[in-house]
Amino acid sequence: MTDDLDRLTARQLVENLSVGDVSAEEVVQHHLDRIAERDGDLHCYLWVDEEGALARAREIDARRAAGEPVGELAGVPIAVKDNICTDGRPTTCASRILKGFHPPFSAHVIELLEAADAIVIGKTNLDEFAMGSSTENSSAGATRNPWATDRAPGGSSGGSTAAVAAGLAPWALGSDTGGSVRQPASFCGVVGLKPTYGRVSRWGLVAFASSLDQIGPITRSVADAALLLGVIAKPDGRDSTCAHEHVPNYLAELEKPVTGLRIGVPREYFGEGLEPEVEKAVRDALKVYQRLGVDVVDVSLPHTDYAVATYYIVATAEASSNLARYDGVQYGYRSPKPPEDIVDMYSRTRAEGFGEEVKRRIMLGTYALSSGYYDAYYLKAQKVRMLIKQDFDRVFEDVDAVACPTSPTVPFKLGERTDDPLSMYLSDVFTISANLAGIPGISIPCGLADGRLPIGLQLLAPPFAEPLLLRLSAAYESASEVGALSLNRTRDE
Amino acid sequence: MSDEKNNAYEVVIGLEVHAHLWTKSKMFCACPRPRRSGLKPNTQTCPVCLGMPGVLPLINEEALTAALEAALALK
Repeated sequence: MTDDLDRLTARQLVENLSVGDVSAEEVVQHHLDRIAERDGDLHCYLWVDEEGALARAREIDARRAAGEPVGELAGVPIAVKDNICTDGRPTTCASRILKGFHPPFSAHVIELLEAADAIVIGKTNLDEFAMGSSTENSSAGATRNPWATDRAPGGSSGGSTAAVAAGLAPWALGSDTGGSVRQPASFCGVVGLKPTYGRVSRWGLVAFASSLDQIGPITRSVADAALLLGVIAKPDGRDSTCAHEHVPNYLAELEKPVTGLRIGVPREYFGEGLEPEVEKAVRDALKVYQRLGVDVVDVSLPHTDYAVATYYIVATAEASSNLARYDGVQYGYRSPKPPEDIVDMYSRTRAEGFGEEVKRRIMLGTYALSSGYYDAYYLKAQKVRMLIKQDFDRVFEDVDAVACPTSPTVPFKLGERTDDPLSMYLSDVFTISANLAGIPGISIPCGLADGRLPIGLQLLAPPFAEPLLLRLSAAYESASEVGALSLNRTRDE
Repeated sequence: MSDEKNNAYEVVIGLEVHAHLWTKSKMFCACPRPRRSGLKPNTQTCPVCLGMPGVLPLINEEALTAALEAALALK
């Protein structure tokens, strides 16, 4: 049975570990072997904690053997996107400017996972500072999509989604600022959840755009996403935007029926640029919902067309401010050339430390915030952001959730969009609105184009309606033939 | 300077008031506010006041109250 350890869901692993069918050490070792076998090709990980993970596993096994209490996730490995701080371990954001940086503290989500005895097995690749949609903007090189290795895994959490799809981790954490959990989940045929803004503490998540960032689960089943969210969603006084809202038992919510619920299908999401195979897979998924007794109705989100433009002003403005701290003085990279003066040291450090896309966004954001342009860009973008949020408020008066494609296309080829930032930005066209509106969204696998390229269905719901989102997702997962796509993932053949 | 030219403008002066507040902790974290000079470097710091990646500032409630009181008093 140990041959199958990388095909199990995290819930199954929890079960097998608790009854003693397998030890934590065996689970960790199996995943380390998978990584050694496959990651040279896929490049999901920036750092693998072989020694640390095995030591933790042995310590948990010993406690369990001695009859001492162990945590809820005891012995289950997890991969963590490398923009989430891990105490004493590398956290680089895939940027040269943070090369060698080991934070002296852990993110709140890591504290919670380690308190539950989950084991951080390694840190995964991403677009530098989470800026990108393909995991190609990484100073360490791109990650490959395990379904088709000449294609991108999506981004920016592409290292995490590819690792989960290829069995190099049972589940993972990503972060979602404009779709960075959901779009790569769609591309890799796994489940990706972006919680409501404020549901999960951002303490220890390296900031890209503070009003949009949210950490989310990347898993092979909807139940795993419910389990993981239940662990990481906890009020935290260190993040003043973290909600005090009650945390429900997400797993228990999955059992409830979906009959009589209403799903809205926004007509604006089915226009130009949507690949026919993606549209067909999503329409087929909607038919599954109808068979389950869910009402599927046409709705309109009229300000959808402005989402991408609004996002690239708000997100870049916040990024230009958040990234001002990287000056080579206290931590991270510093240009080795003898500087002429302090300003020269700053500029050389930033010129050499940041990649092209990060520089592009810092410049866009600085321009949007500069005196004389602030009203025309940032202020106007904030107003449009409110209109986009009001679109959703209105629609949710009539329906329980909104369904649409996660991405307009199937995974594109590596290199295909790297020279054209605009076409890259448009791959987030369906995911960005949820971040602007602060609402939760999930991507679940709903088909394969050409029998090998994953397609994702996106569901969006009102703030803190994660229970409903997970319930609808679980209903589709068990009713459809492709629901378990992420478990039947591509193997090495 | 000719008076006719300057008459086209109305002078408006704003004051930006800075004060060293006698709070227990620093503005954005729980570190003690340094009370005297000569303290050893890096003994009154934490990841927040060092501006490390991943940290979030939390505004000092005592400072906020003091600032609001000052603003009301000077109004």
